[in-house]
Amino acid sequence: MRPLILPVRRLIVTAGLSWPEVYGKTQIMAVEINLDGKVAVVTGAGRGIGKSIAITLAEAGADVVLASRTISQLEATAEEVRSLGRRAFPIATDVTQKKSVERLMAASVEQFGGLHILVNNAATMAPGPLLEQSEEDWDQVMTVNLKSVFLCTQAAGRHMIEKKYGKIINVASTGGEIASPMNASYHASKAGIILFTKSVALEWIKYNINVNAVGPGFVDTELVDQFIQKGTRESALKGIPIRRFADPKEIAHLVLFLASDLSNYMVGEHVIIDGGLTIP
Amino acid sequence: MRLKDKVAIITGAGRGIGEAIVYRFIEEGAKVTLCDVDGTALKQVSSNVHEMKGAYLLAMGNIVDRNFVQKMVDDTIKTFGTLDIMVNNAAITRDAILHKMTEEQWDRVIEVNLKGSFNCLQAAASYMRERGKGTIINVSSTARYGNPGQINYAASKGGVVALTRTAAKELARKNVTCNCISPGTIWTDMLKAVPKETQKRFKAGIPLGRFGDPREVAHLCVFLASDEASYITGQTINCDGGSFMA
Repeated sequence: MRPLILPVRRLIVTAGLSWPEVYGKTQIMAVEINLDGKVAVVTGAGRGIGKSIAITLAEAGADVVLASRTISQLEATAEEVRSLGRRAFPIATDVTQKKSVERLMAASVEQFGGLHILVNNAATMAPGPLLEQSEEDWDQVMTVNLKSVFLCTQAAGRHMIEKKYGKIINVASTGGEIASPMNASYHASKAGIILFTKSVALEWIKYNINVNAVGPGFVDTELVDQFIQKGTRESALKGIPIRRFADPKEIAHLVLFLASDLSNYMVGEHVIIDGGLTIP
Repeated sequence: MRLKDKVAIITGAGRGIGEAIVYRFIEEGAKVTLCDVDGTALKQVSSNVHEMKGAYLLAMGNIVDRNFVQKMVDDTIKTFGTLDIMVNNAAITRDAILHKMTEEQWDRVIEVNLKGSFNCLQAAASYMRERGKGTIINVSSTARYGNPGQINYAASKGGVVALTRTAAKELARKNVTCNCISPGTIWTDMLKAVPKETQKRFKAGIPLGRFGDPREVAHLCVFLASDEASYITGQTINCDGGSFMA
């Protein structure tokens, strides 16, 4: 091997032309994420991360089916999606009920002619000392957070397997990898989502269905506001190397990448997005 | 264009994944310094970039040499005005099973893959932390989980993950993020050099049933380099067709 050769040779072409001119006939275009003609189902789309995901997918060109328990919660999201020139179909859904979930997925196919992307986002938590947790608390968290992912994935998967195409993104959490006290049910449910993701990813990749998960840390949402007091917020910030909570939009961009064909080689990944909160 | 007017250095730009990252970055509007020890490969890639009418700077040299690395970073900043993205991709293999591995094989791989990455990381980070902005992307490998015949390479790639985490923790407050891409079996010269039988065995272990295309790794690199990934730091993300799923 020869030693380094200096000085660095310069060969600079200044880019000043507009892009199509630059590329002329060869037309090597930037790979914009383009979801034109794709249909996405987003659960928990009424607020927070889910709302941001729905809007971001619509910005990239997708039509979006919006699911939430109460339909009134979905109006604002639907309005924004439509203002982007995309179709929105809000539908009241109880993601813990098989029948309701099947109606949701059927609506996607009936209303928009397909189902290409599923974002399992709906979640809840019931923090508190373990000895004070009721069986109902536990069941509620496990059903809303984990069973819903099973029901939605199964129902959507039937359509996706038939069409040999699908992108499923589960919203897990840093809480699925790293524990904090007094939130055992939440951690158990999110850890469950991560391994659920990997198992289904292995099972369905042969149908050209990519299943991946994202793991947000602290995000500025109502759910987090609801459970975090002001003092706790400040101490939480101290634990985040980046020193701020995530904007829901930042989570949505990651989901968009995983919902696009640019991430076709990613299978069963849990991508953490937490400002360094849980760097192992 | 997701990297419009961003300035990047990409090491190991002469072939394989590094080459693909160069093209993707140029396509997304970045100005790129191409670094490689192999002048012939560099010339080929740069002529392609030239054809794409991209802005680029060539840095031919060895990342093991700290003076070269510093000069590359300085020249990039002098030429393009700043440095936004550092992609530490250059790496080599010197495969042998444990009991047959020579000291030279071990040292060489650790020197290029680990010390070389450290040199580039340090030079880029020093500038970025002063500036209060920037992102560093290291390229590890799924060999970090352990790969027979590659104890030197696996150790170096595991080291790259540790570099990433530590740098991320140190630099976060300076608004500099640091992440790591961990490609699986990607169809590059490195893989093409492996015996056909071994290739077959590799392929059988990939749930997706095919090797990755260098561009698929480059897509992930573009995402991590873009402002859209501003809240991701300290992470190592596999792009491996489901081989490991971490």
